[in-house]
Amino acid sequence: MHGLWSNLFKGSSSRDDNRVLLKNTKIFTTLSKRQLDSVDRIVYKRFFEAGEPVFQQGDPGIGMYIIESGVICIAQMPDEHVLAELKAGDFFGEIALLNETPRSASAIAKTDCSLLCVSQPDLLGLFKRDPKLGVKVLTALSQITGQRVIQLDQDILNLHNQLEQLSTNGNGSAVEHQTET
Amino acid sequence: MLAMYQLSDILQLVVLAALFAYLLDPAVTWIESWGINRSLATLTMFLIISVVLTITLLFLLPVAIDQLSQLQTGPIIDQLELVITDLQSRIEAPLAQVGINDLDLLTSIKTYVTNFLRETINYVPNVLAMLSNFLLIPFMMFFIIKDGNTIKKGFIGMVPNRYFEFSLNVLQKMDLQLGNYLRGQFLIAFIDGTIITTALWLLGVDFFLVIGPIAGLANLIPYVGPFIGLIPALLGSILSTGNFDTIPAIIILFLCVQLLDSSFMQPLILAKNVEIHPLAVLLAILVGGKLFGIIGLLMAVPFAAILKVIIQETITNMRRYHLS
Repeated sequence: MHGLWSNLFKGSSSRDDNRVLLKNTKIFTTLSKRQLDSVDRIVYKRFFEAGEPVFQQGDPGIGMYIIESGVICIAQMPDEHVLAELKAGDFFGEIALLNETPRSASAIAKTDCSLLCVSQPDLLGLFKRDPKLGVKVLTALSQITGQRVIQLDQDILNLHNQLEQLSTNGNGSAVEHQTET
Repeated sequence: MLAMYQLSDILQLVVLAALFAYLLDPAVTWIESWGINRSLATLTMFLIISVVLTITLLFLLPVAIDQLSQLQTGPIIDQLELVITDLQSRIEAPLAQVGINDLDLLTSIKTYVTNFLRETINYVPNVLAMLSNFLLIPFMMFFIIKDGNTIKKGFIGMVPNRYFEFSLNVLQKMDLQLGNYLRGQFLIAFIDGTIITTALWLLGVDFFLVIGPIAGLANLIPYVGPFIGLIPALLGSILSTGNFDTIPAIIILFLCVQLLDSSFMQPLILAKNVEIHPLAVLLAILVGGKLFGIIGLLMAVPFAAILKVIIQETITNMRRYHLS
C-alpha cells in the first residue's frame, strides 16, 4: 500500500529538478530546454522503499529509469548475483526503449529511492510529435548501445585471451608433468 | 446505485467525449508535429472541424430540414395512403382464396403509427436535454485531448509499484489494438454513409440526406445494422416514388455496400480486427439499447470491443508479469 499512497500524495517535486536530472542523463543531454520540458511531461516519478523490486528479471521491458536519489541494485537471478550498484544520476533499463525484450536482470531498491521512468510508448509518441527530438534521443541511444558493443567486444577479446593463456598454461604444465613422469 | 443511474446522462457525455477525443488524438499529434504546442494543435483541429462542419451544414442542412419537414406534411401522408391501398388491393385477391377478407391495412397501420408516434413523443424532452448536453461534448473533448497525458499520468500515479509496469504495458497494448479498430470502424461508417447517401440521391429517393447518414451510422452495429439502414431506405423509396420499382436497386445497393465492407474496407482499414463472438455482439446491443437508448445501440459494439481488449490484455499481461 505504501506505493499507492506515496505515489498518490507525492510532494510537489519541482519540474526544474526533473529537467536538471534529465539534462544530466546521457540520452537527453543534447535536448533543448523546450524538448526537455516535453520529456518531463511524459516522465513518471516513482518512489520505492528499500528492498522493493523495481522490475524482475524476465518481465517484459517497458521503459528506462533514471535514479533521482537512492541506490539501485542490479542482480541476476536465481542466485541474486549482483552485477552493479547504481546511484543518483545513473540510469538503467534503457534497452527497453528500443524493443520489448524481457529484462535481463532484476532491479531492486537497496535504499529508499526516487526514480523517473520514461516509458517506450510515451517516448515513441513524443517522437511522432517532435521528430527532431526523436533523432537526438535515438542518436544518443545508438551511441550508448555502440559503446556497449565495443566494450563487450573488448571483454570477449580479453576473456578469449585469458582462455588461450589458461589452455597454453594447461598444455605446458601437462607436457612438464609428462616429462617429469 | 440510484445515484449512478441518475448520473448516467453525465457519464454518457463523459464517455462519448473521451471516445471522440481518443479517435481524434492522432490528428492532433500530427498537427503537433508541425512544431506547435498541444493546446494550439487542439485548437487548430477544432477550427478545421468547425469549418468543415459549417460548410457541410450550410449546404446540406436546408435540404435535410426540407426533407424532414416533408415527412410531416400532407402530400407524403396521402402518398402513403395510396401506396397502402395499392398494396392491399394486390394482396387481397390471393388472400381471399384462402378465406381471408377485409384486411383494412390502412386502419391497422394508422393505429400502429399513432401509437408509435405517441411513444416517440414521450422521448422528445429527453432528446432535447441530450442535445443541449451535447454542446458540452466538444468542451470536454478539448480538455481531454489537450491534457490527455496529464490525465493518464494521474491514473498511473495511483497504481502501486508492483503493478506499475504491468499497467503501462496493458495501456499500450490496448491502445495498439483499439486505436486501429475504433478509428477504422468510424471511418468505414463514414464511407458507407457517404456511398449510400450519394447512391440514394442518384436513385431519386427523397430523404436521402436523412436516410444515408442513419444507414452509415447503423453500420457500426454488426449483423442488424445494415437492416436498420435498409428499412428506412425502402420506405423512403416507396414514399417518394409511389411504387416498388426502385426496391431491387436499393437492395442491390445495400448488398454491394456490405460486400465492399467485408471484402475490401474491413481487411484494408481494420488491419487487425478485434473479433467479437456474434452472441456477445447481440448481448452488447441489447444491453446498450436498454441502458442508453439509441446512443447505447450505436456504441454497444465499440464498447464491447474495448471491454474485450481490456480483459484479454489484463489476463495476458498478468501472466507475463507473473502476477497471476
